Amino acid sequence: MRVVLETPQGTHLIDCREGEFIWDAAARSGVTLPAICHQGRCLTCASRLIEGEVDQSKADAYYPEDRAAAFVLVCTAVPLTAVVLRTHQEREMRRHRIALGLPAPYA
Amino acid sequence: MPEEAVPAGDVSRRVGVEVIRARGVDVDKLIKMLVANAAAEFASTYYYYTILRMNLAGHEDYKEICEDARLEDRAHWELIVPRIYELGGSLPNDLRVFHDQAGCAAAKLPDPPTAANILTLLLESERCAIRSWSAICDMTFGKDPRTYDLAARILNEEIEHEAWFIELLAWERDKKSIPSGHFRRGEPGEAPYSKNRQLYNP
Repeated sequence: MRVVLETPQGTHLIDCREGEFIWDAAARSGVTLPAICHQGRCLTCASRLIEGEVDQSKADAYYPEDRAAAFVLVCTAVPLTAVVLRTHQEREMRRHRIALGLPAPYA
Repeated sequence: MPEEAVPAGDVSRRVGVEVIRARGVDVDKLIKMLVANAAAEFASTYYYYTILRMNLAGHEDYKEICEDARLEDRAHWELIVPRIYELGGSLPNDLRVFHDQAGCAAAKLPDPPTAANILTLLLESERCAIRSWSAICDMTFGKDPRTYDLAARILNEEIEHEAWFIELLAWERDKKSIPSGHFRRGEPGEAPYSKNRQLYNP
């Protein structure tokens, strides 16, 4: 599956294998994205979905409000279609969680 | 960044904080990360490992190793909490709020609670801990020797725990021998790194 990553260092086009997490596919392609827990919990890998659809069911803590605001935890996200993502959205996702009274580790 | 002067007798600020801030540590962020890691040690692992250990009936060897990891995680909690307060931080007054701030997933009893499933969960919990404490080491290396020392002690034990659970899971699930390279602890929860220099860590 085609994944476009808009990072602060530039745009990367990577290919994600079936069932592969986007973070893992990025690492395999030489693009290191932020992450700590790799469990879909700590929000370090937060990204914003610009286009497409992802399966986030493997995340430890992901809320309907996160989906509604187009936040994605790429360490545990599998693309269901071709996707475009803006990475490095950790701070923005924490602000979003705090504003809604949802858990925001490291915040 | 120059160190901010702390006037003589001023108890509202700490030189121990100003010197690390002057060396480039984002102290507010560090406190938040330490609270998240403390929550993971206490709420995501120590508490849930108690339940996992209870459910390893028939596997006395696994129970003993799980007990070591459980008690050492408690030692990590005891070791790091004083540092949070030294830095000017504090723990949330509500345990539920504290639990939700944990940077690692709760190690809840898997369904079905087979030994292989429990060992898999233990392994992944230790891996999250390694990543979390490595992040603290990265933030503090060369800038905040006290936090670095405490985090590195904890990291040493988390790395040993991962090796134990790789060995046990490889045998239980795959009948493969992948030695951890370690011998047994002297007594349960010995915590050779995080308790050999106590910082109120009984």
